[in-house]
Amino acid sequence: MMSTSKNAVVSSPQVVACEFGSGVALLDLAGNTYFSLNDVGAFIWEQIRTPLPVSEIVDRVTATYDVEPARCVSDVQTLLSRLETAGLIRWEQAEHAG
Amino acid sequence: MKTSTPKREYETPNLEAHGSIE
Repeated sequence: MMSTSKNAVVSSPQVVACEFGSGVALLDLAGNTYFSLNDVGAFIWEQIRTPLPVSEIVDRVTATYDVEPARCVSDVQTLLSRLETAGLIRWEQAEHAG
Repeated sequence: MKTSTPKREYETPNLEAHGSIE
């Protein structure tokens, strides 16, 4: 069954990312502001270069990092909320069945 | 025998704002 809600998150096209250290720097060319993400944040940012459901993001983080799923869900939701507030991501309709 | 890749150390993902590009 194809989901019709906007449940996939993707990085905004006006944001330029460049790696530094173990994290990533984000330049928002629309808002003329810049941000940084730590290692796990940078990993998540890399995943959402294409639209991805939150559940899939959590699965990929828990598969890569030593973290309990419950904590990961909370942390991912918090990060996405902050990214959305900053205008660095947008929500789309997931393209795969779910 | 199948071996699993060691998982990386986790830290809470953090977004830090630094200000304007100017």
